[in-house]
Amino acid sequence: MTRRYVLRRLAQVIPTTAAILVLGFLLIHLAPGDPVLALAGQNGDAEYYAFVREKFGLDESLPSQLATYAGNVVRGDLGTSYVQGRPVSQVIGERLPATLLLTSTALVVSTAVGIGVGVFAATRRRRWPDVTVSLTTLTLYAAPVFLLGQLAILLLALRLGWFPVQGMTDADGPATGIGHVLDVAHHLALPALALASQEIAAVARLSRIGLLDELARDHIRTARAKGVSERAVVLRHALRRALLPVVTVLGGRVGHLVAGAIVVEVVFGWPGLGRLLVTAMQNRDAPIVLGVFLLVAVTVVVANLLTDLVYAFLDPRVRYR
Amino acid sequence: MSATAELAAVRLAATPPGRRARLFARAIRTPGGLVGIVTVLAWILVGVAAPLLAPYDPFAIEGPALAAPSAAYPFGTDDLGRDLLSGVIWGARTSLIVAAGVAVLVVVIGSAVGLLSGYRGGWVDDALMRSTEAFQVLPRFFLALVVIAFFGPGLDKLVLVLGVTSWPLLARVVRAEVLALRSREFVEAARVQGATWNRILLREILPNALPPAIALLGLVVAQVILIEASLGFLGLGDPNVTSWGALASEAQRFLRVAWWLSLFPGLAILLAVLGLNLLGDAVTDALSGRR
Amino acid sequence: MSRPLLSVRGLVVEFRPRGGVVRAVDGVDLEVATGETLGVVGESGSGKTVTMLATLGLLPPPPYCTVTGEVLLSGRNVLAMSRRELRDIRGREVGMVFQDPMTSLHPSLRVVDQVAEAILVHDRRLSRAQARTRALEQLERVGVAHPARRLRDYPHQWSGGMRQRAMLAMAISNAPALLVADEPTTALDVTIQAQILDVLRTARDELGASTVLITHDLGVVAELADRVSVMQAGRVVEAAGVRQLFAAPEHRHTVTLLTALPRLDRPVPARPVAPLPRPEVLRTEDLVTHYPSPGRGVVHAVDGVSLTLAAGQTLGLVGESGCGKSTLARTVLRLVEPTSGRVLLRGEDLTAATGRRLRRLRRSLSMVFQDPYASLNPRMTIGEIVAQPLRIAGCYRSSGGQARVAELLDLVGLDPHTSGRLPAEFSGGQRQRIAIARALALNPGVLVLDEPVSSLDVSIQAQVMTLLDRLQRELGLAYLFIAHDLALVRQISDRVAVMYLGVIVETGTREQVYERPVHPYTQSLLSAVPAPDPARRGARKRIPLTGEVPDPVAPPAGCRFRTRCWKARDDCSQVVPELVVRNGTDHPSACLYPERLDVQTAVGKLR
Ligand SMILES: Nc1ncnc2c1ncn2[C@@H]1O[C@H](COP(=O)(O)OP(=O)(O)OP(=O)(O)O)[C@@H](O)[C@H]1O
Ligand code: SF4
Ligand SMILES: [Mg+2]
Repeated sequence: MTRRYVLRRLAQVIPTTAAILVLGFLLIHLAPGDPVLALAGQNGDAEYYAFVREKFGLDESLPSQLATYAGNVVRGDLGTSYVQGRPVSQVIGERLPATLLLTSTALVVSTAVGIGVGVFAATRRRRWPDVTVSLTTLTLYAAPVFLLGQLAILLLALRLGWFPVQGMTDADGPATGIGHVLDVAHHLALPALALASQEIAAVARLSRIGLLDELARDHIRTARAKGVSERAVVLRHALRRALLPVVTVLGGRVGHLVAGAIVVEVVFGWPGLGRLLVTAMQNRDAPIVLGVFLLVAVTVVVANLLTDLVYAFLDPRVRYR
Repeated sequence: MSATAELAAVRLAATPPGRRARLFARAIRTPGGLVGIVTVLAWILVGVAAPLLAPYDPFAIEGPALAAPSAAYPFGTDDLGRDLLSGVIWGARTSLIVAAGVAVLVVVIGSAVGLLSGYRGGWVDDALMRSTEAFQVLPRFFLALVVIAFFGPGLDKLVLVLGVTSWPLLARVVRAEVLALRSREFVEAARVQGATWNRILLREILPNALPPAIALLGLVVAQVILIEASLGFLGLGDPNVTSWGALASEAQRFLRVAWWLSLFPGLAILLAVLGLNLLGDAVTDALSGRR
Repeated sequence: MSRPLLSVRGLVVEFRPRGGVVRAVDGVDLEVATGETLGVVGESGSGKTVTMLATLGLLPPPPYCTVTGEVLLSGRNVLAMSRRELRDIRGREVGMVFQDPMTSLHPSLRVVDQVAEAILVHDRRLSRAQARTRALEQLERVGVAHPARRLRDYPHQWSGGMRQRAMLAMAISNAPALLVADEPTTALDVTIQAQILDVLRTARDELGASTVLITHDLGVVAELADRVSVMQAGRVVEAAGVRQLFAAPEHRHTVTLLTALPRLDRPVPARPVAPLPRPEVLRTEDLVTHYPSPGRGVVHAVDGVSLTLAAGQTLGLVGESGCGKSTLARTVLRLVEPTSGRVLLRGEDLTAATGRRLRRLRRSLSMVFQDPYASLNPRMTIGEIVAQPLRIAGCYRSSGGQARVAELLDLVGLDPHTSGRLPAEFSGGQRQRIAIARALALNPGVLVLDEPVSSLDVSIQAQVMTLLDRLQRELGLAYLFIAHDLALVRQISDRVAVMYLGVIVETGTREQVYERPVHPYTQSLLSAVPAPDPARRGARKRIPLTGEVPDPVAPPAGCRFRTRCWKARDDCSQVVPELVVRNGTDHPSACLYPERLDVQTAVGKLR
């Protein structure tokens, strides 16, 4: 990959990130009432508000406020939740690992399974396995994630009792060692599946269409005319570029998965950012909500960056442009 | 959520505009397209005629609490004895309002940005496309949360925030269309004849750029419905109207005893989204000449 | 005669797209003896490619596509083979070359590796490195210079000609007994076509392979084939030895193909003589158009072109792809703005005109584009399309409205009653007629035609050319006729200009340029055109051009042609040759050492 392409793409991250910061700042100031409420949350006392006002320079001009705000955020200071009496970054940091575990599991599972299903369907085009896959993925793709979660609880947890209904660990489960890992995995299975299923559907549809498009190309005919086996035609010649659409949307999927995770966590009582957000919304604890937004937004920007780099690796024409 | 919409955008942009005569007719003739159009029309009809169709007031306590589906209450009742069928019917109206409002905003902003960007080119294009990319990476769901946290819940705010953030895909497709079309020979022919740019945009480019934009709109609106449902589920919807997501969130507490509270609102969402996706897919497929 | 290497009997291929059956091949019989070259000719859609794909089992599987009949390759039935057996013969016993070198190579794999793969799949004992070495040998064999330096290249870094060489290298790398080439040179320029055909001929002779050569170009067939099968609508309508077919064609379709073909080795009808004096209608003065090429500089698409066109006459502009013909046309019409220079229309400066004046000037200048599928708005009826120039000019009513549209459609030979239909309902030839009717709506004096018939089959091509000829005589039109097909340009032109890399290298009357060319580029172009006359195969002198057209971002200093010119001397890189008449010549050329050279054993005398 050419160094220039990487650098240029890296440079594009900066304005986007800046734009996100400015948006957060604007929202704080557009919100009805004193911006200090957006930065410190409701229910504070006058002394505390004065402190926050001082810290964010709220008595100064807007541009200098923006500078102070941006400076704080860049240093990792997302403000303080008055309700919790703690810095927002600390509160988020506590809940982040559970959400990360859930989303990354779903991301990995959905990518792997989705591609597998897509290839399976595309290579059996228009025969019954393909039709079945198409109908299933269409339905899954349209299903709201809470419906899938609730159905999973109803059937697999309540009716069959295969999985726990709520939480991340059993109250009396082992707190350390392999037993702990298994316990978490057991609890993780249903929420991860519920979260992943829509993504599996999306990835499967993308890779199926991508592969079908690719298999219809002239260079695939060339490969077959050379005597390359059908397996190698699919795996070595077609798949590489067929996955480009899957790669293209990787960045966007990260944002979508985190959003889905919030809902799934509420359904399954998973102790991640979801519960935190819902509580924060109920308490009108704005700094936490804004903090999560900034975190997710920057994550998506980075994910998009990685996506583009992978894309350039798969398609040499991009890097030579 | 944008996965297949994005792909549709890519495929639409790559389709030569020549292939498009009598496109909707062709799209609707496929099984998927037919199911799609019927479902979407049903959803719109229920939404529009909700006051006539709903047997009860969705907020009125009508029957026994948590009654299972029966002839009197086909979808059962909730913990306060409110009729679920009426709730689902009125929920269709809420989702329809959000969808329609967002669709209008998306079409207006998306096509304005796309047309301007593709037609003016140069630095205007660069600037508009940079901002389009910035809007595209914004996590819409979380932005909606922030707006609700700061401004309070309400359909108007929801429409506004989702509309203002959902247009980038459409803008990109329209721009790609304009770019492809403006160097097409029939547009050049009009230029040779001395046609003004207004005439070219309106008579030559717009009619050819519209179908792919509409196909994409269906997919974008489908995503918006899912986001609206998720927000409702988290209890962040407009408290003054019934929504599918809010109904489903009630189910959460009674999952062990009242499965119907979860199933019917969820299915309603599924059907509306499925219909829009099928329709959008059918048109996209017809456009790109597949199958 | 021994058993044929390939024998096809009663081949039928049907496709079943949604709601219908298309019988693409309808009972085809073919036979190729060992060492023999069979030419398969036919117009587009006649089933040539499908036939060959079917014989190699390369068509999609049933139920979408069904193949019946018998295909025997060395006595074994290909249609009954298992996937394994098929894989075994493909690439090893049969090598294939496809039409479009731009899309036939995998865009994300290195070229050398793709050639190596063709070797590797049939010889698993080889290591990757060994296969790569063999691939380099094959590439060298087909004339890729220094392949070892191009180990890491991807296809998009290669030109069309080089990619087609790579395809050839793949096809011959396992010494197949049968070589199938499907329109191997259609996408290429005539000088590159000549190179590729040479490579193909050499490879065939070295391997002693039988060859099936699919093409629509009778010239190519005449040069290479031993026997010919003519296809029409999925059937073979005539099969004969190549000499006999050209000398005494039997089937009507063959006769049509042969008579419709514009050719250099036959006399052409005289041009109508326009009344004197012939006022000049269009002139370009030192026209320059550069495109910015981000990160690389500027593309010198048109670099100082001066031309004149007289009323009622045709100026033919020929040159290879990318030499700037279309850019010149687009600049003349102000679809792109010139970097410098002027365009004068009846003495008025078009380049400086704006607003009303520009619109008024434009009414006497019109254009017909190459692609009849892209040049008509698919959402307008043809009546609207033809009326559009009238409406834009604001004279729809005054010029007669509906009646004028009907008159125009009638003029180009279309039924005026069809004016309510959409372009999609018309064939390519009909669409081009519609485009011509539109161009004539405002009674322009000058028509710019950019490759107006090159996307049409020869028989349709001939009809449209006849129409253009008739219109010119009846309406006294002046044509700027742009094409890459030398024989076609010869048919219709009074004067000819030859373009190379943004400049005119030779210009003169049709007789001067075609019978007494003096510029080396014109000479080699003319000699590279394959003559559709098998009787004189090998009798002609060829002036093969090596290499390819240089990058127009950095055209060579001095004479632009010097990198490919066989006569180039030292001063050719110092001096830019002007386009002037030099000693011993009777018309302008941009060569320091022009001389007459008899390439014209191929060119028939003009009558
Ligand atoms: N819009 C453009 N921007 C940049 N470069 C261009 C543009 N249009 C043409 N070119 C380049 O200018 C050169 C001349 O192109 P032009 O289309 O005029 O050639 P041509 O002789 O008409 O070729 P053909 O026979 O393939 O139609 C080529 O190198 C081409 O790639
Ligand atoms: S000037 Fe020199 S290089 Fe150019 S065409 Fe003439 S002889 Fe060849
Ligand atoms: Mg051209």
